[in-house]
Amino acid sequence: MKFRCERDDLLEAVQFATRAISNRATLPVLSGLRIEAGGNGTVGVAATDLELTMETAFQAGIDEPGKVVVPGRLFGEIARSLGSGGVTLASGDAEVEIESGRGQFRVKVLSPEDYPALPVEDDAVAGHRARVTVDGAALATALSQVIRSASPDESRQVLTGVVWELEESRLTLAATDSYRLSVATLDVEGELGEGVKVIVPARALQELGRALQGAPGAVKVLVRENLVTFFLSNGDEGSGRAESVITSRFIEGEFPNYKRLLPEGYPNILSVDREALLGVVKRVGLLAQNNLPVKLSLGDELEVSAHTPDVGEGQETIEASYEGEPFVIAFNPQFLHDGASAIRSDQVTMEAGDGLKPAIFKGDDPAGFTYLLMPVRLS
Amino acid sequence: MSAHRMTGGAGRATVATPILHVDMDAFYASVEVIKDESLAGRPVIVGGQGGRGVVTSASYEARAFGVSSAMPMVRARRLCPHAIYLPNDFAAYTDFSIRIREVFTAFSPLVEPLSLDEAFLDVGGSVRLFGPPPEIAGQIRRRIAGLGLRCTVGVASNKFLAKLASTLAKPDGLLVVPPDGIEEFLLPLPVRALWGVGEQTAESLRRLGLKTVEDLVRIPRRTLERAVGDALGAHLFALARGIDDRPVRPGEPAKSVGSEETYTYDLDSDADVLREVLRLSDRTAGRLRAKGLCGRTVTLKIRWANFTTITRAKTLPSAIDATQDINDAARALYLKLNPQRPRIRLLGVSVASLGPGPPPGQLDLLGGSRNVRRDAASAVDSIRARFGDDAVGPAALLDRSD
Repeated sequence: MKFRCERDDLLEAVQFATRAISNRATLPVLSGLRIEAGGNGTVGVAATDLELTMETAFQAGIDEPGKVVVPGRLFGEIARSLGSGGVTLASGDAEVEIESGRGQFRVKVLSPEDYPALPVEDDAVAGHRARVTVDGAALATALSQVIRSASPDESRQVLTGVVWELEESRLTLAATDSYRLSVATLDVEGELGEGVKVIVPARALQELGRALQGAPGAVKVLVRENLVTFFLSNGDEGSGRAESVITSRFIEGEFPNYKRLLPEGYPNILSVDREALLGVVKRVGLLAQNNLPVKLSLGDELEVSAHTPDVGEGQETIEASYEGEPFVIAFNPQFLHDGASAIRSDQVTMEAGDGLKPAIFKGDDPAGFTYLLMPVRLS
Repeated sequence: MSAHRMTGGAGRATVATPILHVDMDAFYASVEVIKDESLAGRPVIVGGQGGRGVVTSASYEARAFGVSSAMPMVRARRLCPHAIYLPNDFAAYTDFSIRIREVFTAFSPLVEPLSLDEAFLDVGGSVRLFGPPPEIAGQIRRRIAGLGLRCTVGVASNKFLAKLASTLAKPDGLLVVPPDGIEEFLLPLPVRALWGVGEQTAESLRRLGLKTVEDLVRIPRRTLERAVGDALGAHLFALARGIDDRPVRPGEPAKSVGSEETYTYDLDSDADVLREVLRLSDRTAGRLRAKGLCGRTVTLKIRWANFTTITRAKTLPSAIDATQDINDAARALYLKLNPQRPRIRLLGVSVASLGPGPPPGQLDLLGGSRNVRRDAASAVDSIRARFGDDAVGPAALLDRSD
């Protein structure tokens, strides 16, 4: 294998793919980065931890097609430290040679035979369950709204993922750590098959969200038997980058029936300015330590208060409009802040039943995003 | 040391013997008698009921048969087969311990609890209100008797002498060591009576012909330091003269609550270890709730067969006080270690980052498993309060031979 390319193209591709490498690689070869120069003038870079696979490609002048597996972290460091300009990569028997300017590196390679076969990259593959296209910017927003509700607790695997449900031209994303539930809905186009409901690990979606920040074009989503693949077009025509692909396995198991958790609605409805709510929760929340809640006294104004024994207390009132009976409901301040910050409009409405029922938070577009938060029972 | 005891501060009378050591007599067994009056006057033995259980407390009726604390249960049963055997009920003992402490703090704010049933008091500042220390000791004994319990009090100029006095006055006694009576009290005692003298030190001293405290007082300090080492030598030199300047330190709030156990036989399978982790988690949860606390950090302590000790801790997003939650965390810590051939001498489970309990209840969207656990825990506590610690617990802890 031998090719010449721009250092910036190489670096961008390597940095993208390296994110799939796990810190706790189960097989030594999984710490590697697979670089493949094809006959069509593109170089593919891929890495996987067997759950998550990230692949991308860039244009290069290929002298000799071939493939090589390089140690991922070291290769990434080298690519980053090179100056801008041309880079030549050539593989020998057990080494790869990197030449840039007057610098020369020889790095031992890993055996390409040991490298696992990556999921099929052809989106026309037979046997898919659905194939749809989503607007990249809308998907990035929905992901950022939903992912934070996924649980970090590995002992309840299904809750560490985000459920993807495709139904009637709508894609619904939902995640819950059992204390709060985030649900976002967006439009899709394409073949939905018989409808799909799969759980995608939050880690893969964090990478997808990150990748979408640089390339917010349309995203093609291909759902197969036990894998989902996202195809991202790398926007700029001028750049040497071609399509990037993120593939993830599903999390096996039954996701809770989140639709049943969503209440029909409650008679007590509070409407507040989002920025004002975020500010007051942040300030008063400083006095809600040791997992103690902030208390919301619902009335013509919203009074937020917190008290931590031996530490102190805080209280602040903000303007609000309220319909319903005055009562007190308490929340984990971080969860409350997460919900309000996920809402993308100036006003936030909260519907609440009583101090023991989940409260519903929404913005101006009630169909777009819903945040359901369980209160903290006061002792 | 507080100045008034040494010199008599301005406006304060010098108190020669301000230190009290109060030690409950057969505490757990006596609490059991309060719980069930029909046990009064009968030999009562409290302790672990399993095959390797040990006696934690024996009534004086049982002690007459030679039963004592820390004795294997099996031996106690041989010595006193007709005794009433009861499981530990720490919730009840803690409850009485709190009431006893209330008695102490009524007489002085300077109370240093040593365990559930033992404490030092400095009553130097209380004599104007309550009279001289021996009188305060008598009042404390009467108040404790009012709870249905008995105790022994040692009264002296320092902690060492006070504790020695209560040991010698047991049971149901009161012994005052006046300043001019220290020699008379101390000199005839065997060297073993001194705090810090164990079997080995006693043997080193015996080889020099030193058997009693009087023998120690007669030899030069250098000789003593050469015999047992500088630090211990200096320490014994002072104690033999009745000198001990440790102040009474009022108890600080607990930083962690836990339970640990040393096993007679090393635990050598994951199944055994996990069962013990559950048992310790259950006990820790009971103690947390008895103290009205909950915490966020769960620590697992392991001493391997080769005596190396490790601890692993996990801090949770919210405070807990339920067996299942503590066990989940402790179990995960153990499984993460993934020892290939575990050989474990000692296991401990504790909870830190404490706050007042019960944990403010973050309610659960998904069927409320945590809320249910909360209710189950209160039910467990009330059953144990009535029927003993072993009356209810996780099914995994049932001994299959039962």
